[in-house]
Amino acid sequence: MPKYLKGNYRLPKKVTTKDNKSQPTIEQKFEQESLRKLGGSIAFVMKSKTFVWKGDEGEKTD
Amino acid sequence: MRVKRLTKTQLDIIARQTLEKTAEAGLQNARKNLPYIKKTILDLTPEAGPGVTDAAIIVSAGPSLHRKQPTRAILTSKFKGAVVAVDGSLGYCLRNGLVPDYVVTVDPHATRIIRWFGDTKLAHREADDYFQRQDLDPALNREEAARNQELIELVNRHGRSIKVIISTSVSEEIALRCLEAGMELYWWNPLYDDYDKPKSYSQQAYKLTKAPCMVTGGNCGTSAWVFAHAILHSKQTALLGMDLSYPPGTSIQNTQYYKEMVELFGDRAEEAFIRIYNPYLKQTWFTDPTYYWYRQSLLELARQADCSTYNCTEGGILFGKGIKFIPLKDFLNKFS
Repeated sequence: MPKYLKGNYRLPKKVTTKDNKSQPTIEQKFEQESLRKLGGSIAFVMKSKTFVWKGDEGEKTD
Repeated sequence: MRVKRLTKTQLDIIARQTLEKTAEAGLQNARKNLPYIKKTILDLTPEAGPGVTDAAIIVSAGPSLHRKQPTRAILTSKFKGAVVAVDGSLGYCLRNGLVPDYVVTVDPHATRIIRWFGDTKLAHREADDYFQRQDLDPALNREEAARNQELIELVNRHGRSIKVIISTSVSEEIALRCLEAGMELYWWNPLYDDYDKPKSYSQQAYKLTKAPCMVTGGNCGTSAWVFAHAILHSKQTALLGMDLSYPPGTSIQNTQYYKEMVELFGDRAEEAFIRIYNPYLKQTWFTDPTYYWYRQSLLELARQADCSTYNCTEGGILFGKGIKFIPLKDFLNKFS
């Protein structure tokens, strides 16, 4: 079938296809949406090896 | 579809979602807990300073705790370091004669966490099949009322010997229950987000309570490990029950996020679990995305801490740089 659909003329403008490598696939998108519904017990962030933050006056302990 | 190990971007999505889910609720609970905040974890420092507690055991509540039954080995070893239980393992410890020095609690959930301390209002709660399904304390799977009563009595009997490392994020009911049982409360805030941002949840929680903010790793077990490291200054910390996964053959119905996974993936939920081969066990365990996030977070923290972490769970998926995967008896032989 594709051989019958082959163009027999030239397009005036060159058509370029977008690079899809950086675009998530539908499956990846689905997974990312799903992850939004699976939170943990408590928020977690780590900043510059500070395990305990003692407030603005500033002591930080490791 | 088969979910593979998650990318950093995917882990960040879980972290953001967890912040959205827990920070506002935690801060609301902190406001209600204000009348009970008398001491913070920093008040523990004199008695738990460097050299006093060189070693600690964290008793988390994963399935290996019940498969391996480590309490007898600890009790017969005369281990002198601190025993730090998570709220979910408190019942297991007390039923088996191990009274922990500390119990850590952090999850802001309104009705479930109280069950780990024995819920004096259980008869008036709405129906919740979570405790019939959960694997953290299988003793509570059946005869819920009777086992709850047993736990109330155990906690009341031993409460005075246990210090609660209580996050301001937990329900006010936890504070009241612990006080009722004679426990001493030492408060802390979860480090929710970037404290350098003036309107951050961490800043708000600190300004409200004046309690220090501690890194959590996303869950109670990792919070307990951070507490042992940063407050008790433990240099040799063993982890028990830190599976962060499920043994081969576990029904997905008995996994922590079963309902969410089925809601999301329908009859293909089983495929959404992540399989990880553990070369120490020569077994493949499976985990859900959230537990995988916990695993990656703890591995990252362990690498940054100036202490040695020994995973003595003898199960699960927590292995990698920064973690020594050894049997509990080897740890006890070395540090008792």
